[in-house]
Formats: sequence, C-alpha cells, structure tokens
Amino acid sequence: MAAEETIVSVAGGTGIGLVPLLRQVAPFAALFGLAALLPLTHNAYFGLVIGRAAVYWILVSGLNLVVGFAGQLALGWVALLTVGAYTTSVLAAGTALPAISPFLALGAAAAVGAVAGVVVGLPALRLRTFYFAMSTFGFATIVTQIALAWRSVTGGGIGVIGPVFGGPFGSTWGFYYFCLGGAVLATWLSGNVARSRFGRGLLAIRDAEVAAEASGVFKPGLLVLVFLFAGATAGVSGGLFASLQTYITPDAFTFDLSLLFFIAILIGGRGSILGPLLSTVLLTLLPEVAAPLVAWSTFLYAALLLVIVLAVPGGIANLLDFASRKPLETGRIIRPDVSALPVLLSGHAAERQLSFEGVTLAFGGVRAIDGLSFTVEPAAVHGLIGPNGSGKTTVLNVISGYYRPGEGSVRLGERELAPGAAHSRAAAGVGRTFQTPRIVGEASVLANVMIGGTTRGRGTFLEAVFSLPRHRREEAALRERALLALKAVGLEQLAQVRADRLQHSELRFLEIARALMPEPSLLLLDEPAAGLAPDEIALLGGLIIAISRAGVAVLLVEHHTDLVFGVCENITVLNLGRELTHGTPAEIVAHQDVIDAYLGS
Amino acid sequence: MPISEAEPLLVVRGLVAGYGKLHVLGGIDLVVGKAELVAVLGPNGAGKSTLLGAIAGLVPRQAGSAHFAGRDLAGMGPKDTVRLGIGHVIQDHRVFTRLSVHENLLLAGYDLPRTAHRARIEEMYALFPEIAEKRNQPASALSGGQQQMLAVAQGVVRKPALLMLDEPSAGLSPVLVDRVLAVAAALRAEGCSVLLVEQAVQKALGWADRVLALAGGRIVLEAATGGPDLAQRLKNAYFGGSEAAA
Repeated sequence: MAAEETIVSVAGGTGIGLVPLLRQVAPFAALFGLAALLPLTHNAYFGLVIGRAAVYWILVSGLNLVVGFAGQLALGWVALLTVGAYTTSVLAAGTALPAISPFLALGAAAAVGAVAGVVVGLPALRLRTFYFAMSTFGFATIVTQIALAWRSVTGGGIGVIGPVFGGPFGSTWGFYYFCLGGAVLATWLSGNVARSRFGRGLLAIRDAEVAAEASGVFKPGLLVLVFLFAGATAGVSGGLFASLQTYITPDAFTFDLSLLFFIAILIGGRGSILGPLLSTVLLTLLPEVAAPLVAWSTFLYAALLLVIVLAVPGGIANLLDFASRKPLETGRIIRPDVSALPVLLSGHAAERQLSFEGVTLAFGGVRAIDGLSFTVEPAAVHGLIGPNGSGKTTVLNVISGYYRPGEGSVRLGERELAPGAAHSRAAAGVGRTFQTPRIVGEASVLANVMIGGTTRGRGTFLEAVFSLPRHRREEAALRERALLALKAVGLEQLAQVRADRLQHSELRFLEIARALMPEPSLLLLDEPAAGLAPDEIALLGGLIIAISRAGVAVLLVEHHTDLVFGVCENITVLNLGRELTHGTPAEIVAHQDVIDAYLGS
Repeated sequence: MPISEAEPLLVVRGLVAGYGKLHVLGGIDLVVGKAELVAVLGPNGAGKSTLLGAIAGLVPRQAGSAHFAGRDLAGMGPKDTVRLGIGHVIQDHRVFTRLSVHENLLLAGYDLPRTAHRARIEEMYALFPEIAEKRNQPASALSGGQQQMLAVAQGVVRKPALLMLDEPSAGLSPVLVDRVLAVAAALRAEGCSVLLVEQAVQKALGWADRVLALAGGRIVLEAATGGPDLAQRLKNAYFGGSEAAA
C-alpha cells in the first residue's frame, strides 16, 4: 500500500510528494533532535563524544560522495582534516600572518581544503581502485611530514593551539551546538548533491561508467566538483577538530582516523547518507563504550567492528531498506504506451540523418571495420545484421565515440560527431542501449532513467548544493519526463523499485527509456531483443516503430530476424567488418550470400 | 502426465526453491531421461533459470527432492553437482574476460585427465572455429556472441552426463543458434542428457524430444515435440497460465 501511495503522489505532483519527503527526513530529524537535547543531561563527557561525532560527520558527509557515490577509494582523507586543522589554527593563532577571526579562518580552511581536495583527487582521473587509494595514502604522509618540518608556522612536533570560537560558541555547549549545526548543514548540502543530477552521475560513474558517458556525464569535470566539495567539508571539519582538541600536533592525525572515515562509509552502505551518518556515530561511540575495559578495549572495538561487518554485509543502509524486501508482483507484464512518445520527443531540434562514411578501424593488425558506409534516415529503422564478430557492436561504438576510427567520418545531420569524446554524444543527439544492460542496480528505476537526462540540466553545481529554485524546477521537470519515458516503455509502475530487482527483459526496456531522455535524433539499439520472450519481442517491435515515427533515426543491431525483418525499412549486412550487401528485408531474405553466412537454411 | 520412457537420470519431485521467504518455484515435478533433450520454455520471470539454479545447487532448495543418477542432491552445492556430472551454462555469457580463450577452456575442465581434456578442447575449437582463431587472446577481445560461444564450449568441454543450457542462443546469429543446438543434439547422441532453457521457441522445438512450459513457478504444460497443435497449446500456456483444456 505504502509503495502505491508513493507512486501516486510522485506522479501527481511536480516534486517529491509530502509523505515520502517526511519519511526521508524523519530519521535525520530524530537523530539531530536527540543530539540537540543532549545538553539537558549536563554530561560534558557525552557532549564531547557526540560533538566529535558531529565533527567527523562533517568530513564523512563530503567523503561519502567520493567513496560511497563515485566509488573512488580515497583512503587517506585524513590529510584534508590535517590541512583544515592547521589552516584554521595557524590563521587564528597568527603564527604566519596577522591573526584573524577564527570564523574567517574556518572559511579559509574550507577554501584551502577544497583546493587540496582536488589535488588529492586528481590522480583518480587516471588511476583506478587501489592505485588511487595508494596515492591518497601518500598524500596523507606528505601532509604530516610538512606539518612536522615547517616548524616556524606549524610548531613542528610541539604543535599549535587550536582556534577558540568566541561569542555564543565560547562555552562547551555553545561550541557543541556550533558543531551540531555544522553537521546538519553538511547533511543537507551533501543530500542536495546526492539527489541532484550530479549525485546520479556519480553513481553512474561507479556502476556503469560506459553508460554514464553515453548519457553525457563528463567524468573528469564531475569528479573535480565533488573533490572540491569533499575537500571543503573536510577543511571545515579539520578546523572544528582543532578547536575540539584545543591543541594539535601531527600525532593527532593518525591513519586510524582515516580508516574510521573510510569504514564508516563502508559499514553505512554505498550510495546512502543515513547509513554512513549512523555508522559515523557508532564508530565514534564504540571505543568509548569499550574504554572501561582498558587493556581489552582495542580488542573489543575490533571484535564489534567484525560483528557489524559480518552481520550487515550490505551496510546499514541495506538493513534499513525495508521497501526492497517486499516481494514484487510476479508475472508482471511490460505494457508500452506509445501515446507518450510524441510528447516525449516533441521538442527535438530537427530530424537528422546519420551518415557513416568510409570508416576504417583497426585493432593491431585486425581490421574490425573495413571501409564501411551507410546512412540512416530520420523516422526510419535501419537494421545492422551479420555473423557474430562481424563488427556490429564496433560500428555502434564508433558512432557513440568509444572508438576513434582510423579513416572516415560519422555525421549526424550537418554536424560531424567528434571522434572519441563519448560524453559529447548525448548532447549531440545520440542515445543508445547496450548488449548487456548497464544500470545502477542500487538506484531506483526512476533514478536510472533520470541519469539519461543529464544533458538537459542547466543549473550549476552550486545551485544544486544549495538547492536553489532553478535547480529544483529542473529536477521536477526531469522527474516528470523520466516518468513519461517509463510510461512510454511500460515500466511506470516500477519507477520506485530498485533497478537490480528487475527482470532481464525489463532492464532492456529501462535502457530504452534512459536513451530517450535527451530527445535523441538517433537511437542505437544493441541487441535489444536478446533474452526477451516472443510476446515481449512483439511489444519491443511496436515500440521501436513508434519511436521512429516520432522522427528518430533508429539503428538496430539484432539477431532475432523476425524482429529485424518486421521493423526495418533497410538493412545492412556486415561480414568481417565489410558490407556484404544492403537492401530491403525482402531483398536480404532472398540473398544467397546472406543465407550462407548468416541466416542458415 | 506422460512418463519418460528412457531410464531416468534426473528426477525432481515437488521442488520448491527461491530466496528467503520468496518461493520462485512452487512445486516442480520433472524427469529427464538418459540421452534425452528436454526444452524448458516460458515467459520471463516464470522461474526457468531458478529451476536450473536449484538443480545445480546455486539457488537454495526449500522443499521437495532432486535425485541425479540415483544420488540425492540434498545439501549439495554447485561444486558437488559439477563433480557428479551436471554441467550448467548460466545466462549472459559469464566468461573470464581477463583469461585467454584457451585458459577459459582449461579452467572449465580443470579436473579432467590431461590428454582427454586436450582432445576435448580441440573438439570445441573444431565446433567453434570463430573462437579457435582467438585462442590466445583474452576473452575480452571476443565479441558478445563469441563470448556466448565460449561459455557454451566451457559447458560442453566436460561432456557432463547432464548439460543445462540457460538461453544459449542469446546474442547468437541464426546460423550459430542452429550450430549450438546441433552441438547439444550431438551430445545427446553420445548419451548425454540436455536440459535447455530457451526463448527461441521454434528453434528449441526443432531439436528437443520433449518440452516443458513454466509459468509462475509451475509447470503448466508438458508434451512431446511434434504434436500438431503444440504451438497453439504453448501459446495458451504462456498467456493462460494453467492448461486446463489439455
């Protein structure tokens, strides 16, 4: 019942409905509400511990976007805490420059942290997984060594006094509320990013990088933005950390601390905000709970950690995801509603022809495509068939910019599609699906389709961070459009379901919905019928024809000959990277070479 | 229910399987005889892949029994069923993309006697010359369809007593679908049994001895191939659920 309610309210309104919004916000409100009541206990020790958890969370909230969302293993993020702590302390104490207000110093720490975040993060554009993790670890060591060696400014091993925030935040509980306020702000800001097209882009980079590019997500640009953000929150966290410690030395920034931040995100669950928040609090509290056992405290801490990891393999977020444990209706039927297509594809700039001209592509000595030319007319379906390994998918990969052809050109309308530059295709009017569906399994079906609308967003990253009106309007429009695309392919009722719970055949239709989001002039379909039942193939055929009728040029790679001969006006037959023949379905069926090489008797 | 005349190799009774509280299969009775090719058809989500998974021990068997060559499969995982002689080629060409084609085939039969294994691999290359050409290249260099060929070859190379193929035709050209199904039929001629899950209904009917239709986790139709009205009965089974009229 609850799920239905959600869907109805989403479909009816322009933004997120009120009830699900409350449901999303409630756990955060409860958590921060409880923390706000803590001073009533008059227990300064609790205040210190929870205050520290709040400070850690400010850092983790940003790092969460890097690790949990974008999937980048930034292991040595303590380096940015160090940078922020020293920047704030040094500026407030005036050891290098004239002393400034600690609040200004905190702002400076955010700026310095942001820049340092990009510096630490840059290797991620080239290095993957563990290699990137190692590079962040190296940076952490360098920062500690500089803090030790630059005595005149940092005090070296003796250290420097942490900033004291005056005014209402001078008292113990005053500062506690300051940190808590920071934590609330960090939660809101990182939540805004996570729910924006930027957050969805990060998930896509993590789980389906190729599809992310095809949807117009520009990985380097997006990562730089998120490293800026994560660096800034870490800088602020460092400044507050220094004040909480009252006195900082390089020893305060241990690798254990860096591990804590990282593990908090792992235990919390990838792609969640509530999960990492809970686990940050948990990981800060655990050593305190274990402390009375003195000698055994580290042992107990480690044991508890193991228990948590073993008991909750998918992370806390998974544990709290009650909706995904309800069984889905079985025997679901995909019901495309092609009447939604004209609206969905009404505004596309112009009907454009695809010209694939004299393209040659060699891998080493092997010519995967060998001087191939063909055109696809707007509002027509063009089939590309041929034996396995004849180069069909390679042709699609050249058009969508994953491969750079050695010779020849690819033009859509008057414009040449830049060789390479896969991320430019969505904006240029090319949409595509993949042979094996590439989706973000942990995100909802709706979010997956919205990834396809990345290039429609005009709002800047800052507008998303602060959830400004233009950004909110765009999100609402994108949401509505994604629901319309889902309606067109017949998956509307599954909009809120996690995408990894869908059947294989439903994923194929999901990919089509995603590809339609940017209003493409050209749609590339790579074996959309593979794994589909006969009745589903018939539905797919109807959908493909309807999409082409709306003015889209469709290039279809497929082995189901009934489908190909049923929907295509023209067919090119490939063999060994060359054109074997081309013609209408009737001509192709009767062609002896095609029968020998491909169709069989 | 028509009883298979051949000596039974696999006997499944009242099999319930699924994940946690979710029962995907609701009581399946199935007999596969020696040297018999049985096709399992049905709409997406009917439980076809789950059935193969439950036999192989990949999906928990929650109730009912499965016997293979007289041995009870209760408590056996995929490792054990492979040792017994059940081969399972799962959906979506799961080959090891960083290993070479040849290494993939070596891995598929790693516990076979060495000389026999070599000979079997050469047979696979003879059946699929497309992948023989690329035997020393990483499997990632194969096209999607060629990876599917390799996956089938990995299943066939062991020459298991029972080969279970999950949609082997996905992503293959029509000629190749015929070739893969011919390979399955050749195995049957050598005395192996084949359980074939397919969406390409017409092709599957052309090669199978017997056909089962699954819908909603139950068998709704069981028939020998070749019956005149089979296509219509299958259609009814797909859309109507239970085949009441039969």
